[in-house]
Amino acid sequence: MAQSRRDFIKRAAALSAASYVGISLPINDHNIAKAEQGVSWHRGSCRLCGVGCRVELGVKDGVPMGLRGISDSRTNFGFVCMKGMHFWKCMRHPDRLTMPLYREKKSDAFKEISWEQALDIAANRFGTAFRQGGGEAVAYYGSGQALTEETYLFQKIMRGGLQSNNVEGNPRLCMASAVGGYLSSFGADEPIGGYSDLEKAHCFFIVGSNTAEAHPVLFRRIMRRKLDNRETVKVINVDPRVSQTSRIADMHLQFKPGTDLALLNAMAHVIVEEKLYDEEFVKTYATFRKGKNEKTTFDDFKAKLADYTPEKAAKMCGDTFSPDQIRTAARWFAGSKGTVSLWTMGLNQRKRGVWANNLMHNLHILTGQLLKDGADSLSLTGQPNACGGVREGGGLCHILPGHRLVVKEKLRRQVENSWGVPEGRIPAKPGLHTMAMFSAVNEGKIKAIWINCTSPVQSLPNCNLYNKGMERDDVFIVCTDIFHTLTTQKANLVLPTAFHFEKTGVYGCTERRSQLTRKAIDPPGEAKPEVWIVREWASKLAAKLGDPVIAQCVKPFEGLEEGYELPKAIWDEYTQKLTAHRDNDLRGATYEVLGQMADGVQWPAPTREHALTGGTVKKFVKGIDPMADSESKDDLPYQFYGPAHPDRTLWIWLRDQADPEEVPDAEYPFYLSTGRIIDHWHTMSMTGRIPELLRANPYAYVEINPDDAKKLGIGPGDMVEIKSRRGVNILPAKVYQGPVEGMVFVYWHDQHKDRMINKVTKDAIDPGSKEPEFKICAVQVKRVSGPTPLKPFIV
Amino acid sequence: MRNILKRSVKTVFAVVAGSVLIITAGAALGAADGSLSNHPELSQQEMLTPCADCHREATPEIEKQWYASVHGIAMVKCYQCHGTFETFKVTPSREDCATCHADMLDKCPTDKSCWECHVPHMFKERK
Amino acid sequence: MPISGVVITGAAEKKQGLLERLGRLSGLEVYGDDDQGNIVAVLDTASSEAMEMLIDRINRDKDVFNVGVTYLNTEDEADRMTLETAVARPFGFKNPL
Repeated sequence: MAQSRRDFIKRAAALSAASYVGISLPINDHNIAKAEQGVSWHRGSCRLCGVGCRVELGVKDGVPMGLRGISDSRTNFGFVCMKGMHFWKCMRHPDRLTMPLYREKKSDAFKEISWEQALDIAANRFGTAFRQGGGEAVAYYGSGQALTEETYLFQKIMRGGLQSNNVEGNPRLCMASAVGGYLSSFGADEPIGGYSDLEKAHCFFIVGSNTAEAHPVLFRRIMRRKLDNRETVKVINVDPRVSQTSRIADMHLQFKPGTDLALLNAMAHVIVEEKLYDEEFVKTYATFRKGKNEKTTFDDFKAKLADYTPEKAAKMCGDTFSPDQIRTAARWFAGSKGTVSLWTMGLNQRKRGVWANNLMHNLHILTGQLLKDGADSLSLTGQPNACGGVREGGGLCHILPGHRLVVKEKLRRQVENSWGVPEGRIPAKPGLHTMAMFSAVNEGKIKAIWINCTSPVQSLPNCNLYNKGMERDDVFIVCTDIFHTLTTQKANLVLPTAFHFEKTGVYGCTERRSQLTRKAIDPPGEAKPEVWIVREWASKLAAKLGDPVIAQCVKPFEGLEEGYELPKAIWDEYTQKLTAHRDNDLRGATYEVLGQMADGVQWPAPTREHALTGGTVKKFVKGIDPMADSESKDDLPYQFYGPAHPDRTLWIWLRDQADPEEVPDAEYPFYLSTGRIIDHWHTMSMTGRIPELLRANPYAYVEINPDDAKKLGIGPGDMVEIKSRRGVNILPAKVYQGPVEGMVFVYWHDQHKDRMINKVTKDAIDPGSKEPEFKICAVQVKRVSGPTPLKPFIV
Repeated sequence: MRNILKRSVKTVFAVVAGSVLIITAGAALGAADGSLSNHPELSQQEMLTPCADCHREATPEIEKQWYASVHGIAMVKCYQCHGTFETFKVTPSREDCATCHADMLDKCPTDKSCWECHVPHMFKERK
Repeated sequence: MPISGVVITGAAEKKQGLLERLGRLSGLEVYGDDDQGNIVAVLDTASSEAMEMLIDRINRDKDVFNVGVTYLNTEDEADRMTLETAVARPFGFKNPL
């Protein structure tokens, strides 16, 4: 051992010297490192946000020991963020779930049981619920962090097997409004361009997104672009809160929460008044709409904008900036050689989130800042596979795989025929959206619910209300997860799953890019990949209900090895049968192709040849997007073949400013907004178990503007009560020139009962997207005491 | 192929031109380079404070340099390079830089430590 | 027990003789050479002091222009040194602590 270690060092020494003078020695450093150190590096995607950074996990003796960015990857060029570089450290945490756990009543203690018993129980309880109440009595609530293969298989069993469209997932809480926006403005979900525009952009319009903390590696690309071109590249940041993202901004427009629609309309006003729009582009490719079936004209649009002069809008936005600043922003936006807009929850988590998205797209359509290098209307996604798994894979109650609407009979038939199940098996009516689903749990209408890889107990708005339902003993809850969460505390059955890199599958990130992560190590104990769990459960369910159609749903996957062969077969079925000729055509992106790519493939990728080039960088552009050519109807260079706009045009929407559901009044005088911080991910079940990350932000605090703090007599570190009509938190104060006066801000990761801000937030939803308005509600703010020692809390 | 070295391997790079050897050791265990011995003792509670909060006053020059640097803007915080209290080291290793900059380790001279060319905390290149 | 990787640069036309002399030194192993007179070698000595002496010895050879150390591993000594000796100029500080 000592000898071989010294040999290794000697060879390393020789290689170092040789590389200095360019002598090639007859020994290969790659092989030496592997042979001598036993470290192997495994390619995959980062587990955390929606950027889709590519990383290599270093594994020695079956144990993860390091992580590095992949410099060839077009998403991150080798860079990783604070969370990303540490996430692998939770893989071998002693808290990992390693055995199935069961309790009959929710007040009982969990007991370890075998997989055989666990799957029997799950099949029995779902079978019984189905017999009593049909498909409406069962539900699946999934995650934008599940692999595409997992979401696809879960929804297949629910729809094809249990005849239920009660298939939802946490992406409803974060990007449903973005889906609505893309469909209603461009006729097709997901962005036209992607990250490659960032290096070519001359103006960035960042609204409702703290990119620096929520998407740090993309922020790095924007920062680099700005710092390398300080004079020529403009950054406009639009947010009620000054954040880290504002540090690179030339202009920060801080406005009264909920008035962003007025601001976006005012920018359109300036663009129209000053004739900054691209007349030719608008004439050729756009039409104007008041409603889905209500066309209108440019003149109507112009008349509508008369209500949004910069002067009027500045007033509506709270007089925090001047009308001339709006004019400047509009001129920069329209006049740059390429403008990229980026947004996240700030626009989406709103009662009129779809409208906010429409107004954002309006600016791009008007100015023609689309379809060309350095220009895009780019909605950033929060989770690593909200786009790939949930939006594309059929993970919401109203959509089927391949961007198909449940309500369209022809599309349901296509899916049923692909699966070999009888026509009519998939109900024609969409299932319950997330908030309706948990309301049905509250009412005891849903008898069995499977919650996969997410923690609604903490992540639903107004969560006190919905937690009552999850506590009911007549609602059977299965959780599949790697750690206990606040939600497993309300479950009857907790099934331990394999983590990222312990199983194989595909994540699809923000920019239509699908990337493969292959299994690198075994899961601990008896933890199993979800695809195995679902297959085995479905087989038992078929036997229990005596239903051969359920068996048919998993027949193609019987007996396949679960680490690679099983997910591969699921991916093949999904891509070859269900994405064929759809706008997210992934037929060329087989495991074989994805395995060769440093990064992955952007759809449409109908053929292997196209996929091997990396796929489609810009949708709808002939010569770049193969479907723009194959679906072409005329000689124009852009072809909008998306499924939602039969007229094949881009739609400019007439939308008014709309206030949030709840605005401050005499009793609840402050706005509350919530958000994220760089060191933590969602409900902290992973990042809270990594000492470096926990230390960096051990508990939530409330950010208060110094002027407000002075009025309320609140000093730094003082304990402050934040109370809404729904719930209350007590948190330490951070007095900080961040939130606009009259608004407080809390991040939502903390699991502690006193600091869980979703007890306070409001569950109003967008009538179109059904996405809740997490971002705005009204609260009281009161000093409770001086600084108090606090302890971090993880279940 | 990248230079693959485990973090705990104590590797020293010396200057080619001379025979003066700069010896620094990567710290395998908490504060193994003795660097925390000068740090005021902290309670468990105080250890839950981000480094920069105190160092804004304790070492203002360094905090300012970091804050204004690309690492400061991109939110690469103290703990990524220096570790936390258990793993603290004054001098990060090349492998710490490799997490993000593996390709630069291939391109840069192997006989120098990163911070000989990239000024610590400011990360300005090649003076 | 330090190990180092070195590039020994000598007169190209006298390389053969130099290689023979180097071959007789204990603790030195030649791994490769090129036409410009560069020789890649690994030095393996009992201590850092011995390492410096060996490098000095090579430097004194009449046909050697320069000895460049590109790599030095002192993992056995490192623990001892970090416990006993403060680092002369720590990372990030202009002056010694």
